[in-house]
Amino acid sequence: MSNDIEESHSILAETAFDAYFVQASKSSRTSDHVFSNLVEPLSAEEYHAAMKSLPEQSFPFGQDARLRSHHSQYFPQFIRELNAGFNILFFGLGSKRDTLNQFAVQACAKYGNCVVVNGFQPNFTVKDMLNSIINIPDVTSLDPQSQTLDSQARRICDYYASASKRPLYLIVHNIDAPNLRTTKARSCLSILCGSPAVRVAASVDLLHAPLLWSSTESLTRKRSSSSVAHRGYAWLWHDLTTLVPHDFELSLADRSSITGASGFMGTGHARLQQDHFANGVAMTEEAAQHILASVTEKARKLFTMMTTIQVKAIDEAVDVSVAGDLQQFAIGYDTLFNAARDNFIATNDTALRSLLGEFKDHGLVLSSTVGGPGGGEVLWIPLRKERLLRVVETLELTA
Amino acid sequence: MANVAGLNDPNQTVICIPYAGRDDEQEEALLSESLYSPHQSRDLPDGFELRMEVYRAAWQDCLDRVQSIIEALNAPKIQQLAEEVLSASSPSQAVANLPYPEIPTFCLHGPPAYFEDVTREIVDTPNVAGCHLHPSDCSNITAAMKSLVSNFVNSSDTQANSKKRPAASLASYDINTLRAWYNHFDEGTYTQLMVIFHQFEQFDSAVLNDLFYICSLTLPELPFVFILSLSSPPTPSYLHAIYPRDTLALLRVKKTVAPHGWPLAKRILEDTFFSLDFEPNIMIGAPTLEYIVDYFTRYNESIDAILTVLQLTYMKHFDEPLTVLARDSLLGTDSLAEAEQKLSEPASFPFLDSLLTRMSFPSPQPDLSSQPEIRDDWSVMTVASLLTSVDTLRESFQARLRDIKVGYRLLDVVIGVLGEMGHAVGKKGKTDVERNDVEFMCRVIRGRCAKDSKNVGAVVKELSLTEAKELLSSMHKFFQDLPSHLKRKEEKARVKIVSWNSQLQRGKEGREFVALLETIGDWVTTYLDERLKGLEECRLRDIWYTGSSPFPSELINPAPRATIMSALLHPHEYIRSASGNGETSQHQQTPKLWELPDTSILFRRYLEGGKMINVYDWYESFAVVLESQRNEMRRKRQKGRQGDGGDPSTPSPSKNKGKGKAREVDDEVVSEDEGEDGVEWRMQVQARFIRGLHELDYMGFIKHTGRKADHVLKTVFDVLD
Repeated sequence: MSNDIEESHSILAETAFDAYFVQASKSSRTSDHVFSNLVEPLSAEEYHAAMKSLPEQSFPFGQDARLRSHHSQYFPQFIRELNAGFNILFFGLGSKRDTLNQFAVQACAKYGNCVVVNGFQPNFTVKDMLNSIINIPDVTSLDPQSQTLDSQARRICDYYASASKRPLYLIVHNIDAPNLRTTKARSCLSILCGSPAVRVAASVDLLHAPLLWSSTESLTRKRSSSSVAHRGYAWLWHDLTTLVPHDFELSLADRSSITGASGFMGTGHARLQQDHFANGVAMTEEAAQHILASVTEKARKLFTMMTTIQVKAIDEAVDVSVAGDLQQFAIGYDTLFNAARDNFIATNDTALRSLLGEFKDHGLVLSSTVGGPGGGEVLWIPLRKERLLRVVETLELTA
Repeated sequence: MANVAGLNDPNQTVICIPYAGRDDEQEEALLSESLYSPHQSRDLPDGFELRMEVYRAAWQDCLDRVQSIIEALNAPKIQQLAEEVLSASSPSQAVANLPYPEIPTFCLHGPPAYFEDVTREIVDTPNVAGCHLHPSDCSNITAAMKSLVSNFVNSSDTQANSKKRPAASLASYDINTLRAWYNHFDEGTYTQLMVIFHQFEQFDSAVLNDLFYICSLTLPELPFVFILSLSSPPTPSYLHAIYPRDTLALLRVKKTVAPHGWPLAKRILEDTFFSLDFEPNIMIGAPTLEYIVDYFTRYNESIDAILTVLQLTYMKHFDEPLTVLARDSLLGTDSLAEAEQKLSEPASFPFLDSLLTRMSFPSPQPDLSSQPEIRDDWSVMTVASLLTSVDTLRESFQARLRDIKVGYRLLDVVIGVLGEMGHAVGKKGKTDVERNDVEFMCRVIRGRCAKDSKNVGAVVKELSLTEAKELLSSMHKFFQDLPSHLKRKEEKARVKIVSWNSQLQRGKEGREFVALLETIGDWVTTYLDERLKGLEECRLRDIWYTGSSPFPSELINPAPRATIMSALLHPHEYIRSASGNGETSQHQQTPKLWELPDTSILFRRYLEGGKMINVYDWYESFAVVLESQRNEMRRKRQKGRQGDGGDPSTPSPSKNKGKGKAREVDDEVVSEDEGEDGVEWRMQVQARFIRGLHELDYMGFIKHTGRKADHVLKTVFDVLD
C-alpha cells in the first residue's frame, strides 16, 4: 500500500492542496511540552541585549542594502505612476518602512506635501491622520469643524483638488493594520484614494491583504467630482521584497509572549498585558527592585536568603538545557521555614506567611503544591539566575 | 532621511514631510534629477520628460475618446432617468387609492461611475435637495437618522439661509428637525428630497428597514425620493431578496440598468482603435487586446479595468526612447530646424545612433509596394532627412492603419449581412462571443485575414439575386458613410459597387448573373486582402504600435501570497537577482538550511509540521539549526583566520612558544565557546526564535488558538520542493 502511494508521488506533483489534506486528515502529533512553562520569557531588556549581541554574520543576508538600492532606482517610475492617476500598493516579504520613507523624503516631498502614516502603530487612529493633514501649514485655512471623518476627508480632497497647486502624497505603512481595516477608516481612505489630488503609496504585509478590497474597488479609477465624494482605490501592485525584519513595526510588541505580535494590535493589547502581569510571568528586574524597596528589612533578608538557595540549586543542576523552567529549583516550604528560623527572620509560621504574602501578591514569589493533596508547598522566584544576582547586588548596595 | 523629525520614532503615528521642492514652477527640472530610463544608453538627455509629454498628450486623446464614447452611450439613458426621477413626486405618478403613500425608489444597477453621473445630473437641478448616505454612516438607526437629517440641514446652511436654524432645540437625529427645516422654506423651494444610497448592498438591512419606515411616516409632507446604487444584477433582485414585504410595500421601486457587459466593451475598443473618424497615436497590439478580454471576462467586467489596462499599456510603451517621435518629429522644440539642431548635439548621439540603425535596418518584409521608398543608404542621410523620413513613415503607418480599419469595418459589415441571410462565415473555434470578437481584431491587426476574405468571397459567389442586391446596397451604404477623407480614397470601390448594383437592378439572369457574382466575390476577396495587410511590416512600427509586447499584468493582477512564500523559501534568489549576477555558478547550489535567515528557517520547520504546531517543539527544532549554524560559522571563521595568517605551518616569530598557529586558533575558539555558551547563547536563540515567530505572526502565518496550551494553527500548507 505504501509502495503504491510512493509511486503515485513520483508521477504526480504534490500541491499545496495535497499538503493540506494530508495534514488535515490525521491528527497532528505534538509533544506535551508547553513552551511558556519550560522556557522563561525574556524581558524587554533581555531581548534587546540578546539582539544587540547578535553577531552580524549570523545573517547571511547582510546584503539587504543591495536589495534596497535595487528598489530605490525605481522611485521615478513609482512617482510617474502616482502622477498618472494610480495609487501604489507594495507587497512582498520584509519591512518596507525604510524604503517607503526614503521614497517619501527623496521623491514625494519634491512634488508636494507628504504625510507618512504608521498604520502598524497600535495607537494609530484615522483621526490622527486627518488632523495632521489638516495641520499642514498650507491647509490650515481649511474649516476644521467638520464633524465626520468622511466629510473631513472630502474637504481635504477638495482643498488639494482646487486650492493647492501641488498634490498630497500619503505614505501609509501597513494599510492592512487592524486600525485601518475598520469600516470607518476604510470609507475615509477610499475617499482619499479616489481623489486625483491625493496620491497614496501603501504597504501590506498580511498574507491575505488582497482580500481587503473587492476587485471593483481596487480597480475603480480616480475621478475628480465636485458634488459627490468619489470612492475607489485605483491600485497598482508592486513587489517590494526587502527581506528586512519588521523590528521597527514590532518594536511595541510584547516579546515575552508568543502572542505578542498579534496581541499588541488593537484593543486586546491592554488586556493581554494585564493577564501576564497577574500571572507574574513578566516579572522584571526593575519591578523586583520596586517591590523590594517597599518591604521591611526582614522581608528583604528573606528574599536574599531565598535567592541564595535558588542560585545554589541552579548552579548544582547538571542539565543546563532545561534551565528555563525555574520551578524545578523551587524550595520546599518546610526547608524555607527552617532556614528562616535559623536566621532569625521568622520564628513562627504566621510571621513567615505574612512576609511571603507581600511577595506573592506582586508575583515576585510563586508557589505551587507538588505531589498531590498531601504534598508540600514549594516556592520560587520567577527570575533568571543572573537577574536574581543583580537584584541582590543592588539590594546589598542600597542597604 | 535623518532630517525629518519623528520618522524613526516608533511612538509617532503620523509624520508630515513638508514640500521640499522649489516654489517656482520648475517641477520638470526636478524630475530630471532622477530620471527613470530603462534604456539610458540610447536615450536623449531629456528623453524621459519629452516622452512623458508625448505620453500625456497621446493618452489624453485616447482617454477623451473612450469617455466620450461612454458618455454618448449613457447620456440618453441618464437624461431619461433624470426626467423620471424629477417627476416621481408629482401626484400623477402615485398609485391611486392606496392606504398610505409610497416612496418613489429608483434602483440603479451599474458601476459607481455611472451612478455618480446620474446623481450629479439630478442633484444639480434646482429645487432638489440631495443627501448622500454611505454604509459607514449607517451603523445604527440613530447614526443613520443623524446623517440623513444633518446632511440636508447643513447642505442648505451655507446657501442663502440667513435665518438662524429653526430647530436648534430638537435632537439632531429627529425627523422632526428635518420637517421643521423643510417647512421654514417658502413653498416650492424644494420639491424633492433626494436620498442617495451608495453601495446599497453593504448597508445593514435592519437599519434601513427602520429608516424607510420613519421616512414613509412623513411622506406627503416631506417629498422623499430614494435612489439606490447597486452593483448586483437586476435579477435576482437584491432588494427583494433581502428586504421584507412590509418594507417593500413602502417603496415604489423602479429599476434601471446601466449599459454593461461585452457589447459595451467591444464598442469602446472598436470605436477607439478601429474607428474611421478617430486616429489614436498609439495602436494597441494583440496581447493587450487578449489581456483585456481575459480580464474582462474572468475578473472584472468594468470599464475602469479596460481603461487601466489601456493606460498601463501606453505607459509601458513610452519607456522606449524612440517613442518620443510618436506624435511629431520636433523632439520638444518648436520647429524641425531646432529639432535637427538638438539631434546634432553630442549628447543626443546615442539616440541618433539608435534611430539611424533602426532606419537602415531592412524591414521584415521587403515587398512593401505601398511604403514610400526611404533611402537605405544611411551614409548620405542627414539629420534633417532622417527626421523628415520619420514623418513620412508616420504618415505611411497611419495610412496603413486607415486601410486596415476600412477593411475591418467592411468585413464586419459583409459578415453581418451574410450572417443575417443565414450564411455562416468563419464561425469556428471558440464559442464565446468575446473571444471570437477579440480574435478577429487580433487577426486583422496581424494581417492574417486571408482566410476570412477568401471565405467571404466564396459565400458571395453563391448568393441569390435578392441577397446579392441586399449585400451590395449595404456595402454601398458603408462606402457612402465613410468620413470624407476616406471617401475620396475609396471612390473607385464605391463606383464599382454602384455599377454592379445597377447591373443587378437590370435583372441579370443565368450565366451572366453567375459571372457577375464571381466578379463581385473575387473583388471582395482582393479588396479585403489589399486592405488587411497587418501592421507588422511597417517600418519603425514600434513607435506607434505596441506590437506583441506583453501586458505587464502583475501590476493589476499580482500574486502577493506566492511572492511572500517564495521569498521565505528562496531568499537567496532575491539577493542574487537584485545584485544582478544571476549567472554566477558558485551561487547556483541551493543554500543549506542553516544559511537561511531566521524567519526562513522557522518557516521551513513550519511547513514540515502538522496542521497544529507545538511552539516548544518548534523552538527546539529551531535551536538545533541555530546550533549547526553557529558551528559552521565558527569553522568558517577559523578557516578565515588561518587564511589571514598565511601558511599555518610557519609559526609567527613573536608567538613562537612551542605552539602552532592552528593550535592557537583552536584555543581561542574554545575560550570563545565558553563565553558564548550557556545562558547568553540560549537567550539569543530564544530572542531570535521569538522574533521569527512574531515575524510570521505579523504576516498572518499563525493563528493562535486556545485549544491546546502554547499550540498554534498553521494557515498555510505547501509542499517543500
